[in-house]
Amino acid sequence: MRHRGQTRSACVPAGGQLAEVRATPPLFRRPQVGVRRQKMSILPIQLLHDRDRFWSALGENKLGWRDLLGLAVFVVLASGLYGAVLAGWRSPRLSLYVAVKLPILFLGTIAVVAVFNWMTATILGSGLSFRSTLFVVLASMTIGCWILLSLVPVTFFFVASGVSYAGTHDELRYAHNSILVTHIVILAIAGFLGNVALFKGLRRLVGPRCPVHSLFVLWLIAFAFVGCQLSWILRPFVGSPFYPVAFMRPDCFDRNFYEFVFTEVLPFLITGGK
Amino acid sequence: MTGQEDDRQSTPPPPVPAEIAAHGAENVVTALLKAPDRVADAIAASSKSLLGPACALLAVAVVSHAVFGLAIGLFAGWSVAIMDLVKAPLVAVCSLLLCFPSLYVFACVAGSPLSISQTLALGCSCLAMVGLLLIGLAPVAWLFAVSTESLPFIVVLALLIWLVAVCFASRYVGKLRANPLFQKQGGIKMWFLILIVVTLQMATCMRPMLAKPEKGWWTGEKKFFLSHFGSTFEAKEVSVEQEESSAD
Repeated sequence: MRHRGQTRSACVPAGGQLAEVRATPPLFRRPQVGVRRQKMSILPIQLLHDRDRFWSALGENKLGWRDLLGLAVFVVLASGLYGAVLAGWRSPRLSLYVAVKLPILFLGTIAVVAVFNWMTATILGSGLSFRSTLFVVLASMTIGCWILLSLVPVTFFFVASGVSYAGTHDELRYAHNSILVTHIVILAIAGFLGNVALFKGLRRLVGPRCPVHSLFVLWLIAFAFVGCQLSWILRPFVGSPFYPVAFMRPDCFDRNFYEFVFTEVLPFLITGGK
Repeated sequence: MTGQEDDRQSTPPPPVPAEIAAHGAENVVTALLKAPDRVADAIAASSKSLLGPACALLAVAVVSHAVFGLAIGLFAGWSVAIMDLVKAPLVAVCSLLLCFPSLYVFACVAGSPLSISQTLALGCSCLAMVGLLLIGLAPVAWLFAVSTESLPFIVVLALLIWLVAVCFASRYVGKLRANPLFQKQGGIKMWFLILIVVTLQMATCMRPMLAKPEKGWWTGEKKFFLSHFGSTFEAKEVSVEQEESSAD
């Protein structure tokens, strides 16, 4: 029977040398490397199962740049896979293009708004470092990418069984619109759940005097504003059947997303499509 | 001995997973219908050895879906009923398979960190619950199936019965809240919407299910489920117009 304060090595019988060796603390710090590698590789899984632990580690400054890279790699892989399925109905070439473009869109948007996020966080007194702001945004992106990854089988099934790249003009338009709506719904779910995670993370990390709602709304607006324009530049994603397959449209820099909305979409809606 | 202690002694302990598997379908059905909190405890108690109970739950789901398929398939005769005997469980199981990753991720994201084994058991229990409700409503489906010739009516009826069953399955998940593992259910409830949409598309993919097949049990044509349901009602409108013109 082991008593309080008695070490594990003291309990083993005389012949249990191996157990003694295991219980002895390591002489060198080398095993820490293994622990660190393991931690980095499972960080996305930790975010899925035990976000509290992740936010605590981030709050205590225990996560480094390599961990950040681990999250970015996960975002690239997950969004790349979803992108490949997203455009799969149109052609394998567009599928490959979108597998490259979707991670560029996600990480590119984070990169463009990174400085703004850090500045607003600093001005509002959150006490977050530049690296912490990147971590928070990438963590919420990772949650969104988990959602996308989990819906890859569903999306693939819809693409494989629901839409056909053949038929009349109207049938093609119907197929394109239905697959477009499916993807919009899926991306909206992923975005919503990612932002819920972002808000909860911010609430845990920022200082008590920081207006967390304002910070969250500012970040959200900046992300959406830049994300819409970047997705406009990088289009096509779903792939209209009436345009040739291309990595980017030739007129991608001619106008911006908001010009398109205000000069074409809004007048169309106001006049009832006339 | 106090009254509370008496109660504690008279309350049967929650069945461990192995027990559920050992007693087979009967115990599973009783637990699902009468004490869902015991199922929750059994799932939460073990994170690894749940394959047996999951198989028992899946067997219940397959059999009950098959019975419902047979009942509703009688609308178009015995050949379609036999076809639906196979297709109805296939639709349910394939939908669950496709939605399994999303159940796991949605539950975890919402704050219920289930293991893969627990997710499997939860998914199978939901499908078994849907199946039990379907088997309860199978006589109703049979009665209307043999007494109508309207395809849109039977489509709407089947859809309604199935949605009622899914609502009860969702309610069953709500009762699992008694266990701390299932306290946060937002993700699982959202997952039900995905399961509904996927099952509708799966049924479209495995058509025809309520009409005599022309070239065999399967069709190669790709179709979105909304388009397919729309065409069912369009066919009805055309036939009504034809009847009116012949009456003139």
